[in-house]
Amino acid sequence: MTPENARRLLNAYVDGELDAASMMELEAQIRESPALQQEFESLSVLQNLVQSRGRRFDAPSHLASRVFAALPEAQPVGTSKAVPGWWRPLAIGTSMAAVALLLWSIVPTLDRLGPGAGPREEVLAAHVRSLMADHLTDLTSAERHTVKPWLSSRLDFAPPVEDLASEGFALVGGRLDYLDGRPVAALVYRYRQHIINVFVWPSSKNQEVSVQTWALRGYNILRFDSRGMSFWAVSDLNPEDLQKLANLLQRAAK
Amino acid sequence: MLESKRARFESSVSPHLAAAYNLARWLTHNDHDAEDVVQEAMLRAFTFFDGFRGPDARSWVLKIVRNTCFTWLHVNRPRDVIATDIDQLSDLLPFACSGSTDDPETVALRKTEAYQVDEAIASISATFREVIVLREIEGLSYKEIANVIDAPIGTVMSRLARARSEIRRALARANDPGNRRGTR
Repeated sequence: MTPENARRLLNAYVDGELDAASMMELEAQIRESPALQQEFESLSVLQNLVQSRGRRFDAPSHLASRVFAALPEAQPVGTSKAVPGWWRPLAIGTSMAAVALLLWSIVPTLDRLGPGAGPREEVLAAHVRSLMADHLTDLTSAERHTVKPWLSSRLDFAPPVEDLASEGFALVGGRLDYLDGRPVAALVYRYRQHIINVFVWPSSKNQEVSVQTWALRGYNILRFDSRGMSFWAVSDLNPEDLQKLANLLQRAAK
Repeated sequence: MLESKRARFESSVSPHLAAAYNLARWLTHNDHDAEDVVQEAMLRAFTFFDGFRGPDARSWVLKIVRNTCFTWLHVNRPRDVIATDIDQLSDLLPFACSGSTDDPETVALRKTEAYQVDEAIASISATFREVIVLREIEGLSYKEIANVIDAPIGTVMSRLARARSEIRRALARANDPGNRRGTR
């Protein structure tokens, strides 16, 4: 064993980080070598000294509030405010590339995305906006018999409003929104700490469309058509639980 | 979502702010810079929080703080990062620097064991100082340290061994009356 290696092993030994085999081997060597024995004792003393006397600087009491107050205000994910300065040139380059890619890909291939993939961005933007502007609901009520007539009286259709609290999806309220070129109903559900916007409006083609899902900028988006209505659900909730909500809404709509 | 991201971020990070500050304080050598570095690190952490998966929030937080510290050191104290000879560092020592007065209180303080230990830790270069702080003061395992400094466990072992030799030398030097760096 080289002196350098012995020194490393002794350090790991005093730190309790050696495996059993290496430990036994090293202990045997320490017994045979007074120099190693002395080094071991000296290391133990030093470790003890540093652990007991080494200072742990106390954070100032205002640190937490200062740090958390400096976090960017609620804003859509992907904007550049939270990006450190040295990232900005890269971010601008990336967003220019993204725009170019978008123009290149979306415009000619809109149909390929499947029926109704168009308003995805709009749906996500509406979701983010609802959380940003402190305007989550126009009517805050967990009572579907209050929310449904309120929405129906303001829209040209009667959106299905379900009480799914027993399944963990608590109804928070309803809101009017404007999507896909028309006024729509936004139903707000809460699942644990996650807010889910479910946008509902009459579907253009009166046919059943099974569930489609997308992940977009950290959000999960899901849509399906049922009973003449298009349902769009968007949240930061995981895809599985969002799918569960879709199943419940589909079942209720039938 | 965004509010809940903030809430999740705060609850993940809060328990480790004390460790974050201690590491930053040891690496930057002063209160004010430590605070600034922690704040900048937490802004970075928030930006990358969506990518954080895993149970070990402490290592994740310390890793970002540590990287932010080293970026800061490269700009503000480049010699602290690369220098390995204690003698080159004397002008960086916070204790030596601040100890220019010879009032009895300061002199008494210098003599305390705790002071000498702190001075010895402060005297070694940042690369070795960080592993000592993480190990002896924050109590991280080798594996956790390896994660924080993004290096193999073998490197953690070597750096700890080296750090302890240097601290021991610094302590011996401080106790040698013929070579008291702190007295003027």
